[in-house]
Amino acid sequence: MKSPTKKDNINSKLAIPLIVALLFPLISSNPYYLNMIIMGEVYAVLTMGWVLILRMGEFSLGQMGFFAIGAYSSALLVKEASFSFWIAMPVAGLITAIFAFLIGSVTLKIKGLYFAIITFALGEIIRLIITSWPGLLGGFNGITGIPKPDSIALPFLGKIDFYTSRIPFYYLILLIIAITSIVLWRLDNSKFGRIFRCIAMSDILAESVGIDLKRYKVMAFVIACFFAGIAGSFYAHYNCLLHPDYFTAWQSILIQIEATVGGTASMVFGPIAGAMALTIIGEFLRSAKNMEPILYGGAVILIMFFLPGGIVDLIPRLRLVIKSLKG
Amino acid sequence: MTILHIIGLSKNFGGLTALKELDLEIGSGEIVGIIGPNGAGKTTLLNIISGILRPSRGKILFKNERIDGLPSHQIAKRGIGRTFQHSVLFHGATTLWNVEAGFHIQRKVGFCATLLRSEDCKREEERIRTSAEEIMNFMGLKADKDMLAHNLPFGQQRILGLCLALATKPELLLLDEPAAGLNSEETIKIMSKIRAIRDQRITVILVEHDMKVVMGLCDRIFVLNYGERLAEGTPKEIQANEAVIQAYLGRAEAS
Repeated sequence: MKSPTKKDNINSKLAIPLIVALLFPLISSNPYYLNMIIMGEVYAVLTMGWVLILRMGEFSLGQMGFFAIGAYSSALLVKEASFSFWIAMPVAGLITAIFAFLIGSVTLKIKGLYFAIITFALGEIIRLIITSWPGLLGGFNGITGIPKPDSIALPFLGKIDFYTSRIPFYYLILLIIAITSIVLWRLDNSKFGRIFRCIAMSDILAESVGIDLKRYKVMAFVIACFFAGIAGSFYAHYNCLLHPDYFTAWQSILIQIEATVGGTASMVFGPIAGAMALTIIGEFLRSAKNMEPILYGGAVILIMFFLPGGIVDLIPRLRLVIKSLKG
Repeated sequence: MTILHIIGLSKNFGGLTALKELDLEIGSGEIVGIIGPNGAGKTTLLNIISGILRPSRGKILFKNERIDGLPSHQIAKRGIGRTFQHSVLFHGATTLWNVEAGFHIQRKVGFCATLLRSEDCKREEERIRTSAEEIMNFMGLKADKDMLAHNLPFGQQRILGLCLALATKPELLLLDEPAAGLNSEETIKIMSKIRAIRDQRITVILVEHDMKVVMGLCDRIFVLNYGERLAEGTPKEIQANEAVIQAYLGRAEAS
């Protein structure tokens, strides 16, 4: 494992992807590609949260459930309680975090496979609650006509209108991903990252040096679910339509596949790379939808055999190859 | 001065009595050995003191405060450190990282200050690194500070376990078979380390099978048999005790 205290020069590494990301809408304003990238980034937020839970040693197979809680609470807040989207989004994140706290306080007493099974069931329970509550949550009809974010006036940029184009959404999710990345990166490289790793490596030893297992496990879980809720809120108002069929266990498993393919050693780059890669590949596989799980399964096996560090491991490996060619 | 006082301690696992009405008193600054045949309840006793198991009955007083039934992270905070029978370490991380992890209780900077990377937070990390290196120096592990814990030789892993426990700044240290699986050279080394720890005014309780270690190190020895106290005394007294010899070797008539 890479020592988390090692200082990475994150700023210089970030510059190129950041410039590309900022300028992307100028390169291509094709709504089809924009949609693909935006959905990739929504998944990247979910995947980063999933890796945070993995840091403290647990597998969550229910992240889509928390994504749904964020999405539905945000949609209801705006549609039924006429909140502004800009307030509803953080509130939806907090509501998701409260759910995560209540659920985590009980379920994180168990660990390993049992926790994974519980979260799997949890995701399904949340989906079933949605389908069986047509009055409030729309049931199988879903919730339609969710308003897009209200236009917002920003200094220097003027009024930004979300109804005419997808580009503002692109920059909004970019902002969300930037905030998520900074918070999770700093968390991972602080004493909290160390605590999570301690718990993952040996919970009994962690406790013997004074680490309150439950407190920190719940903490990681709540933070991860908060960001899942934020991503859900974004999705609700981007898509304008919520349907329980979107929040299936397969989607939760997909998050795990994305993390594995991208690489779980890094908190930020791996999840983003994995989520983008699989979303783009998934888009090209549209015509062969039934083949998707098989191909993803194959991809995971290949990655685990030949590139156990995930896609992000390609860069240091290529650098080594270049070095050996030069020398 | 008594640092640890155990009164009427019992532990049942279902129908099995692991400890029965045990009374122990441990003075500050002693090295106390706990010995006994397999299944005598030695590790159970350590696990109860360190909070991994809850006692069925009885009281444990640490510096005149009750600690029985507290979760183990709180017991660690009150000043009881421990090591484990097998090399339980943060195996995937470096030696230095392991020792720094032991300083958890000393990290006081809050959540927000940590995320904002405040000056306090940086100073704290620097201070902990210095203290961790001091401990590793003291225990003779400094040369291996960048090695991964699972690549260390077995003897060094044991010493790393001691370093981790020392990093919690304990007043009482519980050692579960510190010399198990070590060769004679490594055993001598770890014995001198344990003495050095005692000289830092840390009380040591150790469970051990290797009689050379127990007799060579301990000021006082408790002998457990079937969860009950069989004998108590200095190493010399224990070696001459009839009941102890019988428990270990069996009765002369029976053989």
